[in-house]
Amino acid sequence: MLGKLLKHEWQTVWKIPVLLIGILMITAVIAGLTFALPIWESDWVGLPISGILLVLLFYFAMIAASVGISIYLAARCYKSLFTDEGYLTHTLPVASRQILNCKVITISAWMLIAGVAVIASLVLFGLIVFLSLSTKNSDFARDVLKVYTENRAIWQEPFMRDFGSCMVSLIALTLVSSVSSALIMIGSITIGQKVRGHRILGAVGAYFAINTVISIVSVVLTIPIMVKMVTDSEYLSSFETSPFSFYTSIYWIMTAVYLIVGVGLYILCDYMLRRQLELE
Amino acid sequence: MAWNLSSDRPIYAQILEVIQLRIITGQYKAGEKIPSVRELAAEAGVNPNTMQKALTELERSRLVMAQRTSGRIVTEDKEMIREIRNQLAGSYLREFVDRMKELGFDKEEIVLLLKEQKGEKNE
Amino acid sequence: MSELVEIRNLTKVYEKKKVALDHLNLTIPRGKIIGLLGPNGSGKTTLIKLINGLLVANEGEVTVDGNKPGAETKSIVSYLPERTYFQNSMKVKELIEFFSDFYQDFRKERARQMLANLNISEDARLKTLSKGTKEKVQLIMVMSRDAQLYILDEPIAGVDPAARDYILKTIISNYNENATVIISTHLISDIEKILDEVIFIRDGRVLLQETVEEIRANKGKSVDAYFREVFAC
Repeated sequence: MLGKLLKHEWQTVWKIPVLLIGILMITAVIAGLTFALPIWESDWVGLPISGILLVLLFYFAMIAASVGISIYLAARCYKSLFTDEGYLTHTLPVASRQILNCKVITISAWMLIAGVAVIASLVLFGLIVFLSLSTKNSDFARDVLKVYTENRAIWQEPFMRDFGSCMVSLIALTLVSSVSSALIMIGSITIGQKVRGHRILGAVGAYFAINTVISIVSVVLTIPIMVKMVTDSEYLSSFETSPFSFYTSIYWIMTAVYLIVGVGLYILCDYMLRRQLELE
Repeated sequence: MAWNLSSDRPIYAQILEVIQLRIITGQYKAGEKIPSVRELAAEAGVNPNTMQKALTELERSRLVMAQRTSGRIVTEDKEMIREIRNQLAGSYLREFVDRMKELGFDKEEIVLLLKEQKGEKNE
Repeated sequence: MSELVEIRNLTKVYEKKKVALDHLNLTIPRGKIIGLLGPNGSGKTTLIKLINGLLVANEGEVTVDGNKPGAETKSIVSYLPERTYFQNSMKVKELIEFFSDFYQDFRKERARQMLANLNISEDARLKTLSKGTKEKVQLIMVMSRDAQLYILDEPIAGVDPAARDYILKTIISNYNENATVIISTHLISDIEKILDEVIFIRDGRVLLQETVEEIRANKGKSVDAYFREVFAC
């Protein structure tokens, strides 16, 4: 049954996010191409300004894509669970936990995709800028290569110590925070709809409350490390040689916080959908 | 013949009457199949259980017979149909006479009125 | 075989101490078409939502075919709520696929036939249909399932008289001895001829549960007239 839920969920939900990501990529390309045109050296001030505006457009597209996808998914989640559509959702012959799982999986996946898309659009932008500048200026590529080879020596021991474990912790953080942010979204909506008459306000309030708690807890938990940095001179010097182990600790702490919040919210949502459903 | 059922009185009795009338007037011919319970119920706009009850009563009185697999057929017994026709006629007449008596007519006056009616009809 | 629906001591209290259902007891037999009648606020809708697992009771229990409301009961209960509950952006044929996918007892051909009878195109997007047509589509989906319990909340209220007849005939033709249809409505005179039994509900309690023929025979009036008498303001 979960498979069927997922199938229908994706069929409904894929269009807007894909559209937003498509627009994002297009603005990335357009913004990058401004570097291929001789607009920056022009006399008329209007051209460089247009160039800046196009790059800004790309920047806003990044925000629009990530925020837009989140808001769209949140709205769809609310609609299908707690409005008239809920009469269909909650009378399907599936356990309420399956409905929850379907939402968690779908939203987590799209949060991850959105994140990857933003990074991909930056890479795309960077690549097009590089190619544009290279074609305009034949020395450009050579200069970049020179800078790269001069600095390549840095990218090895002892600087690169703990780089691998840092990457692992970063990946863990990315995955866990995607699922967690999905659960924060679903949790806020579920908590919010308990507030009679002000469901959306309740959801927004719950969202900010949860994020505030996460921020406070994260700061508190990272204090020991910060203190150590200031008091332990050995630790400080090892950071100056290779910063990665420091970041690894931070990332693992964040991962743990998101994990606990995620699990807690999952249990809460499961309980509320099962035992506290009050469809109007 | 339309059903024209009234919700003020038990439907079951009204259904019985309509089906009897349909048999008497030949809408359902002797020896022929009548529609199924569900078809009749849908046509009449009534609950199938009520229709079933009426048909069961008709089976009991042998006006209608259930065949093993193919529904119900009207009896071949034309005598029985005639008998029921007469019974119904009798009850209509009794009702008529009672109402005329309510209006204050006595027997002779009733017969006179009937003859006049018939006379008018023939013209 | 046990009764189809057994309700014991069912109580539901909303916030501000509003008692919707008050220790209600009720059994629903199989193979009957039953009218659930009562004034607004009597608890009809609350009762229906509880049977469908859309609300959780404060006290008491509901069982459908021996099970508490959950995935199993939802697979044998076909519910038509008063509101339209599908996504407006769907096409009719996508809705058919959806129901087919989730409900084993959904009869695609029956749905198609009924849509054709009412001249509703399968390619139409639901948001382009009129309110009455949307209600017909929803009813067709619900009645095309071979469920054990149909719960119809105001199935004919928003629909023109000709379509009403069609809908009532559909309910009659769909009938089978193992399934029960519960109809909750205010339009008593329109539907009373198709009912086996009626349940009168007031202030969260069952006032009476009788066969309609008994009411006609004993009280000498239609169920509609009797209802007006019982619930006179």
